Amino acid sequence: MLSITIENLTFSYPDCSSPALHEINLTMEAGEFIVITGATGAGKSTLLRSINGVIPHFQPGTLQGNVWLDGATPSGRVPVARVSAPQLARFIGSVFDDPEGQIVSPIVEEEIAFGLENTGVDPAQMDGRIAKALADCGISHLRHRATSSLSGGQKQRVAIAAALALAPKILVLDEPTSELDPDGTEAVLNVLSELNKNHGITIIIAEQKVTLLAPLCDRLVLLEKGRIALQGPPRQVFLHPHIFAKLGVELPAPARLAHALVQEGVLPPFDSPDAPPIPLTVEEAFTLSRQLL
Amino acid sequence: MSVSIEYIPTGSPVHRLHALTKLLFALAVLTISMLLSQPLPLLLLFFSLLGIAALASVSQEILSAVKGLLKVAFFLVLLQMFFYPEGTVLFAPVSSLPGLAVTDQGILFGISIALRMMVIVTSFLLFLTTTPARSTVLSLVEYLKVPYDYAFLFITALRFIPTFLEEVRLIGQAQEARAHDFSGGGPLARLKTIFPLALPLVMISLQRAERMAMAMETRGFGLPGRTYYRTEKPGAVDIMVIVALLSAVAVAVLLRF
Repeated sequence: MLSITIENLTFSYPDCSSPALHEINLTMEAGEFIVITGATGAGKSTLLRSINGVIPHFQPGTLQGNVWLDGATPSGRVPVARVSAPQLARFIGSVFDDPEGQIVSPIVEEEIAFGLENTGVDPAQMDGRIAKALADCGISHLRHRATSSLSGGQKQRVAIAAALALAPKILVLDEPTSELDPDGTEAVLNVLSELNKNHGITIIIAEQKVTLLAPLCDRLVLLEKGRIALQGPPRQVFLHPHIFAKLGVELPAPARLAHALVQEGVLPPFDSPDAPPIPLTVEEAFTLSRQLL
Repeated sequence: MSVSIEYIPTGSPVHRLHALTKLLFALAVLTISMLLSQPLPLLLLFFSLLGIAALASVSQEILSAVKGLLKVAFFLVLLQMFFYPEGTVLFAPVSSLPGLAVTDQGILFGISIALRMMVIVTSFLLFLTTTPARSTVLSLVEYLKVPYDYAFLFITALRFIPTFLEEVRLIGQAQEARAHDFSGGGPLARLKTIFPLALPLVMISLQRAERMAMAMETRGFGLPGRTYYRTEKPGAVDIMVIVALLSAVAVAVLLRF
């Protein structure tokens, strides 16, 4: 079991007057599906980068506080900053937003093998692990394809499979669908949901697409100028539409509908004991509306 | 003239040979062709290369390349014909310049040079069309102890060729949409028109290189004790071919000296 504890984390990029992250305290349990969201520049990427070791290993700047990796060693917890980036790959898999910039090999199976080769896995085991990683991402049929011939959604799933091949307990994904079309986005998010449900892999994802992720995730974390503005399970977080409005993050349409119904007096306020749960999906919103008719 | 220097996967017995065997083959043919000076043996060597091309099912590509080579060969023969002074004079086009006389030996020498050129180029084309670049590079790492970092550089460069071409196309279109004219007049003007294409390409590539480094290290690049997914070991056939190649070179050397 591998969990992450962030303690008083403050990070400033060089030549920046205000810190990108300010006194962040956050715990991420093993097996959680966590969505980090917020407006551009709120610190989503910075937070993820301090979890997967890009900060401080690649990104210069001033770092205060700690990101603890609990259960990585028999002796207990280690700070991410003390583990080298390649060492960290065995615990935390990283997927970035640019599908093109993270694929290094000309053929899909070689791409998956890349991490295995780097971490010194016995070549006799590689075929099995490559097949499993591809199957877990639903892309076994792409194994012998040229990476340059894949669509964006396929490339991102290859990137996820490549990270997954190293059997990490945690996947950290920085806006993995930002360059994808709706089909590609859906395929990638479905894979993440499967990995979380069926394999217990912790998913930490920065995304703008709250509507799509709300039904899949356990917890939403809203960032505002480097601070945590709001966090909790989606149904709880959606009870605060004014915070979403203030941060410029779009509240999903089903939740907006429910709030409108409350304002019209058709539904009891959500903080009253007989209030229905706030809908996360169009189907839930439909069922709710149907009950009212 | 379309010379294909790309790997053509046909799965022939030649393809199944180890990359190093095929590299040694190209080098052996090069050595032997240097040792042979008569047109007839060179011609035989050339035809045996075409035979191997047929065995490897890459005849079509090799023959289309040979067609192109013939033009160069013709030019080589012509050049040697006029500037080879020894031998019996067949005819002299300009009687006041005896140096330009065409001799029998000059013609033979020209033909030899042209054939030698064709033999060497064809043997390397055979190597390139039947061996994936990746296999070659990894064999160099494994058997000739080339550092993996350099090999990786090369493989990644290959992987990025299609990406670059796509980016060149996109940037070109974007600049043309903003009324940039790439077809500009003279060579100097042409060079100038390249800048709006080259600058964004360099910037994008630098940015990408940085991200790539990040993506690589978060997947364990740089850890000690790297293993290799597919290592190709030379088989019994490879050993036989290598022995045959070395004996052929030895025979050629003995015959020459």
